[in-house]
Amino acid sequence: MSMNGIEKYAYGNRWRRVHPAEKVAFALGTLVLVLHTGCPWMSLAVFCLMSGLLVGLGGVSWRFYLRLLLIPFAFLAAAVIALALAITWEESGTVLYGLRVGNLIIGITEYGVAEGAGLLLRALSGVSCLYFLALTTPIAEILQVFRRMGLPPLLAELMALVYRFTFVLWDTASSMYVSQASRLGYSSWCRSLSSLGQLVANLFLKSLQRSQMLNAALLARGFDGEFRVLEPAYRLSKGRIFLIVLWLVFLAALDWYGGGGGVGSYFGRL
Amino acid sequence: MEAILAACDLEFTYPDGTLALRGLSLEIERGEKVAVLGPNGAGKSTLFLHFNGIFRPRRGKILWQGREVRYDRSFLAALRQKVGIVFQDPDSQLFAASVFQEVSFGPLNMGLPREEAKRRVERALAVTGIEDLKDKPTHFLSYGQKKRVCIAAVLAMDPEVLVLDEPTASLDPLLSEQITGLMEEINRVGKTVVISTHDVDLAYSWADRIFVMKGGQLLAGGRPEEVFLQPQVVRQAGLTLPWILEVYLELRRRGWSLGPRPPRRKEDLWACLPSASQAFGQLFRPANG
Repeated sequence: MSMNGIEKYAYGNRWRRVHPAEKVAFALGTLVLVLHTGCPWMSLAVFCLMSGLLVGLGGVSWRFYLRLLLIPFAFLAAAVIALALAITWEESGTVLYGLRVGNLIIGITEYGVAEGAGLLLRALSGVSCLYFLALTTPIAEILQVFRRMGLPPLLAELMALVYRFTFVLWDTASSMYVSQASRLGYSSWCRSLSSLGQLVANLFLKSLQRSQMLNAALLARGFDGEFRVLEPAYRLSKGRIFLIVLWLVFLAALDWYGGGGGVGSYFGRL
Repeated sequence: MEAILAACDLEFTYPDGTLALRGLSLEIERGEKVAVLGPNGAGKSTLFLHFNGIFRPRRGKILWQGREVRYDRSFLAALRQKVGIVFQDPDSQLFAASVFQEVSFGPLNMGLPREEAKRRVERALAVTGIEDLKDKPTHFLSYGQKKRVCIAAVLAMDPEVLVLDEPTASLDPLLSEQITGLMEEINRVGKTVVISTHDVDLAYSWADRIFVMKGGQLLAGGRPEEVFLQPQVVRQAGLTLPWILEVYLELRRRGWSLGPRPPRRKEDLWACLPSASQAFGQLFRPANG
């Protein structure tokens, strides 16, 4: 479901005509720097910037974007709660709310809350960078950039094929599911288990058969072991490259002057 | 006319032991439109996969322009460029992420320089009318669009023979008509087009020559009207008569004189039908054909 949604946006958003290398540099550069810095303010700023570029300028619906953000949120929530909770001795006086068990206090400390919030922002900013890339650039073009950057061709081809056949597999599986369900294959718990088992087994066989057909079809067009396809031409924009470099240098400078603490070192920790 | 592609006494067995072709021989002439008919499992697809050396016959041989096909790398590469196959299921043919990349695969495998390959891709997309799908991922296309991409992907290699396995199966009438038109156009620029089909009307009206297969053997071959006028062939292969021929035969049985040769196209049938006044006159003539 959301896989198809991501795909639809990747092929039809307002950043579609921008050279993929620019988008990869912008998104991944920002990702690395914001994760390295770890400053909550900067994370917040990056998160807002990426979200703005996607929802405000890119034409991605905010409902869809929120739904996407909810996916990592479940994992994040667990981690943040674990971080915010702390077990401390009586004397450390920063406990905001606690439960006393003998000499120990299980509770939420000021430090834990700051840590948790920091982590949350950091993760969200990282996720927003990746979503920017995923929602503006089709996989084929991301792979093309990676290939230029020296990713082994075998790996790139494997990724491209896996990507393509995920959809074929999904279609095959869902049509098999529908056909089973329409013959009461999922009418009870027991039936469901047996139907699902058959589906998985047949899916494997069908995939095998399909891969043989594909091989024949590739051979028919002169396949010799290497996938060669033409990549669409994009124009690099000097203006945009300048802006991206400026932005990354700016982030790096903040990171460096902050001694790894980012702008947070000037304004104090959250 | 020389045969551009010929099968001589072809025999083929699948690894599971199924005998798919049993001594099949046929010849396809340059520039022809050929339709191969026959029930499911007759061996049509198996035969097609022999035409560009995907399958290697157990006995017999394939001739390309009178020369026996050799199964070495360079011969196969050359043959696969000359004979393009469009498979029945588009999903088993399409592998690339975008339409443009998919279509560029063949030309690049031929070792063409990028500029030339790009020109070929653009021309193939234009001929098949799918220029606007260029950047679309192949899994977002409709069945008919996928079919066109498959045809474009093979056309971009500029083959001399285009082999299509059931090109109009599961297409709606309009799309099926468009694909037929496309095949007609491809043929008009001098390419040999070979299709397999279950659509007797299409085969009858479109093809220059028809081969009927059954059980891995050739049942009959010849001009469409010759083949369909052999009742035992039609019955054995489980075919039905094309409606044009059926109308023609019925009218002739009722004593209409409609010219010596059965019409091939709808328009030809209309042309040999008399107007109302002429027909009225005919009614009073002694009906002896």
